[in-house]
Amino acid sequence: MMTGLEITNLKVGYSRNEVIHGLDLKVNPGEKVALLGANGAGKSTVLRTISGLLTPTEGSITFNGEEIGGSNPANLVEMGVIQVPEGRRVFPGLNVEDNLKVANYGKSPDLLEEGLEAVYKKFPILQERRKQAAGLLSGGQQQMLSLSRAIIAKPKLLLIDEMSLGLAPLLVKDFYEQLADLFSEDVTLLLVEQNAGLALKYCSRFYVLRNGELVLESNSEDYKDNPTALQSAYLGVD
Amino acid sequence: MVDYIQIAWQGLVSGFAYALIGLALVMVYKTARILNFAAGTMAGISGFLAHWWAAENDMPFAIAIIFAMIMTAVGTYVIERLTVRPLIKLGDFLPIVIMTLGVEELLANVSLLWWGGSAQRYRVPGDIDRINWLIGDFRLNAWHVVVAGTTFVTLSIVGYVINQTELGLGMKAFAEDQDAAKLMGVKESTVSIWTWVLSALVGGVTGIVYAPVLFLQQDYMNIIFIKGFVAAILGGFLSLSGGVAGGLLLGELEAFTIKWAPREFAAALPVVIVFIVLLIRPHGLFTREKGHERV
Amino acid sequence: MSTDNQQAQTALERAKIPLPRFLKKNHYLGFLGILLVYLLAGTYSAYSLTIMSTIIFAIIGASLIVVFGMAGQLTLGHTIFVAGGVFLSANITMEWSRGLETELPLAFGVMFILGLIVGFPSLRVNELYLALATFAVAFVGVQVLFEWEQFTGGGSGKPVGKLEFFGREFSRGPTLVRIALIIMLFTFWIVGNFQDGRTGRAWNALRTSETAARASGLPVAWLKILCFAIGGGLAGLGGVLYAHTLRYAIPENYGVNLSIIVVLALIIGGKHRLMGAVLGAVYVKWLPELSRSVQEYEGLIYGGTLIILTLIAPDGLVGMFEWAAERIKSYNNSKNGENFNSKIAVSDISPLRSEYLSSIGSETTRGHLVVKNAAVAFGGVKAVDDVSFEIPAGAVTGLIGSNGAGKTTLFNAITGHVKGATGEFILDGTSVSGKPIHVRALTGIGRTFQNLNLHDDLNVLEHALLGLDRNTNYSRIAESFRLPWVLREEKKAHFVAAELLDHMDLLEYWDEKVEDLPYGLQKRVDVVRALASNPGILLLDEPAAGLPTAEALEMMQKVQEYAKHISAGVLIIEHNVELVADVSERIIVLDAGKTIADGTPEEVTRNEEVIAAYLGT
Repeated sequence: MMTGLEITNLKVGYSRNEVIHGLDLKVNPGEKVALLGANGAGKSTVLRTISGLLTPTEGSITFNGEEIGGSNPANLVEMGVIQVPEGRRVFPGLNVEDNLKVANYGKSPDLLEEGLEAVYKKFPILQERRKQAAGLLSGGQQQMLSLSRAIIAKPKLLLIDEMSLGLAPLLVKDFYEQLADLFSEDVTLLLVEQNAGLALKYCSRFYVLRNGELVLESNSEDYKDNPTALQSAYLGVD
Repeated sequence: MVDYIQIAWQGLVSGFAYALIGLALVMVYKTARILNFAAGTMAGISGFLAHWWAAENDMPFAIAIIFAMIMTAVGTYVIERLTVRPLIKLGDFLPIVIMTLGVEELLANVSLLWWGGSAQRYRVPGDIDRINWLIGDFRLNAWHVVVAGTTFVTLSIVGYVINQTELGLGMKAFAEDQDAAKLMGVKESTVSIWTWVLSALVGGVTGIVYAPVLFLQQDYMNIIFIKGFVAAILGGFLSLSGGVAGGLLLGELEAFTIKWAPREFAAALPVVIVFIVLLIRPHGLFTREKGHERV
Repeated sequence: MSTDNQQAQTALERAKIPLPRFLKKNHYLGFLGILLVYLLAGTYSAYSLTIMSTIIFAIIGASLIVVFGMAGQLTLGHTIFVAGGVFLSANITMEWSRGLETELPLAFGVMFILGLIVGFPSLRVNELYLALATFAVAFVGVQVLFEWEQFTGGGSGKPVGKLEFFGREFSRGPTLVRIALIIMLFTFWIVGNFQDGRTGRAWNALRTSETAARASGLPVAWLKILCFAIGGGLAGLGGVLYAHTLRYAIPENYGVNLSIIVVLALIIGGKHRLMGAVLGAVYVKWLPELSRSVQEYEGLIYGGTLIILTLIAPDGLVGMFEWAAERIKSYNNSKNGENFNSKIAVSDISPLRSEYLSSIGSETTRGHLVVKNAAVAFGGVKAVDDVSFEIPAGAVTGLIGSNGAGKTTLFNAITGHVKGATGEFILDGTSVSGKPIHVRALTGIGRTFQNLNLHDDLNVLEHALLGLDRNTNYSRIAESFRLPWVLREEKKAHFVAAELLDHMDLLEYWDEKVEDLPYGLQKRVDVVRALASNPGILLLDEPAAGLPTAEALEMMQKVQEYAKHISAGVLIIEHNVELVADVSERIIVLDAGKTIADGTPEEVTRNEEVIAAYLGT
């Protein structure tokens, strides 16, 4: 049953600190949706919950009809739920190729061959530096590597957490322009971003989160010409 | 000159033991941030098991060793599942260390009850531990050659597992960044159990090959455990090869100190080394300092 | 009438917070228990060895409470102090023919100094590492004893001389038990006094969060070394008793095994309470008396007990009893429909005008902060890149910026929580650049933490008292003997703390452990701790994150009121731009480590570059 990602009344927190106070969100199969908000709004918490790093205290998360809230991350990876973590999170001590191999963990080596070929074709610089420790790569190259791991993992539901963090604006723009090219059309995508301008160019729909609550849900089209409304939803100032 | 070579060789033979135990300790610490206080006793029990099967149940030497290794793996599996695993989820590591202390106390007493407190000779086929060759003035014990060989084989196998297998890759990834590794599909429980088992097997091998050298006694691996730990500190505790290098270095330092320094000082050497290393290079001799920690 | 009366009461009285006294209920109970054993000491001579070793274990356990229970330093090398006491005793009695009058002070003194040395690695390594380092000390220590024949007699050991006190000889047996009880009373008195005083509070604080302890101005390095020294000294006293009990000192008795058993006993008994030391000692010393088969499986049982307790009751037997007592209490309360703490009379007088808070603060406005060319780099990334600004005294300033802009790193550079920060930081004319964290805190930099660095085991009141530590004037020696002025200063601090809690609306929660509080209240506790230290400038790192805006505003108002009261400045990092704009006179905006705007809230929120940085349009 292809119903995409459906989140109903999700509540999550760290120990006693509830960060998300009842979130409803839906991403249809193949749809590209952005989750926006200033930092501290709880966006990353939502992604970490979907990918199994956090367990919801209440509510449900389903992907294609199957309940996935509180599942083990490894099982979710098997289902095709793949997260590109905030801050890239490459394994700094492993070389580039080993980083990519980890993304194929538990799957057949043939798939890895295929994946590596695809990745190296898209990012030749990674092939060039494939024996180098990932910690020595520049920020942009690390982001390439982080995205490449997701490519190899063959996502059905892709979660990207704040690609713009700590990268030069021009570089970030590049990555967003490449996204469509990197992943196939039918990948369902939920993108967390603080940088609304870039995300809206790529995603058809978006949600805005503030202090753990949804304050706005809309089509990207409607807001292209009305940035002030978005701004006040974001910052809470008029 | 031959004197020096003799001392250097002696240092190397002890150094191999420190290196192996250092490696076993670093392995668990690196992937799980746990210090296993029971490591020495667990290694000793492997030695006793091999001895028990061979000497008291008349099993062939090699088969007894294989049985001992299987028992070590199974025992470690049980220990990890029953004692360590329930605490990992709490995320606080001091209780786990205390837990391994409890396991150490338990195992030490099990082995004491089973084998008693007296020392026994661990017999090897053909008594080759009593064969000494003289090459010029250089005296070479046949069993020491076996020790060296076993060390190389063990290190190669560990190197292979860590660097060439998917499990090793998962262990390395997990050691570098737990969350990122989980997001790539690396299962925490699989990595944890295999790290413990592999570490215990390395310890077990050490316990067995050093049994003829040290005599089997209830706590015969404790001293090796301490020195393996010093080796790990020398190597910075986060580097497998650093731990091995630290072990060899410690073996040499010790061999030459015993030759020239007073006995009180030679006995205190490991602690002196720990203090000096912590004073000048807390991150170890062979590794560079890690970056910042965020507040 | 009654309302008048209530108004006159201080916050402390209204909340019924007990004041520190010279003798507490525990003192009477402890004294009674010890008196009982004292009187009965002669009756059970068949068990006198077991009684002696129980007392000795209790003393060693109490000394371990200092190192492990309070300061949280897991040490497995504690027996070297015991061994030190034993062999000092043997040498003093045999070689010098002196008695306890020399043995006890010397054992304490020498082991205190040895503790200073052994404590040293604790400064350099984490707690896991330390456990192994001290384990190595114990292991090697016993080997050194074996080799050091002149002092220890080597493997065959050394006899211990007569039991004397200023030339008067005592028979062993019941008299020795009585002497041991007096020493135990002394040890427990000292350890108990530390538990009630500022040093114990500081140890508890550094156990639960070193980072926060430093930020409160506590000299963490010295406190760590000190716990080993005091613990070592007290364990040395236990050693002297050991020597006289066994009458013969042999190195092999004081090996790693004993080290592990004493730690095990304390953990089994409960590592945070003196009662735990007693219960642990009784458990390991009396269990084997039950039957021969228990004796045989002794170690097995201890190991098993430890494993099971670690899984089900990490605070040991005492923890189990306390838990049970609490359950009964709360059951009774729910039956009677009572609820503690919820009813605290409200005073009409603002706490700020109470006699305790009105005198605090300074006449001159403080918080004039100059930051010159601050820079922090991680690897190749410049998290803070040449930032300079100056904040006038007494001002409320906001610091905003998108995720990863370097705000918290800038805070850490000012407070000293990040290594390798360059630039100059001057507070009210005093340069703090390059100074350790606690020195900066004592200079007047107070801070809160983004991720709530609270001390989990401590209650709300204790957090306030921690902040007040720098204004509490008594020495650690006075503290250990509970001298009158210690109690006077403590009482004063309690009064001030209560008023401060009242001001921040936390009074009714004063005896709750912070980990049991909801998030919003925890945030306030963090702020209270910083305010209590009477800072010149208060650095608030996202005080409102995760709070509803109304609650956040209310809290900020209280903070501002108090800051004004003590004439301090406030620098605040916050994501909630609405809130920052509301409370600050001026806002500084960081982006990618650089200042991109600096002005009034109106100017900044309209600034194109700021909007672009936030929205990325």
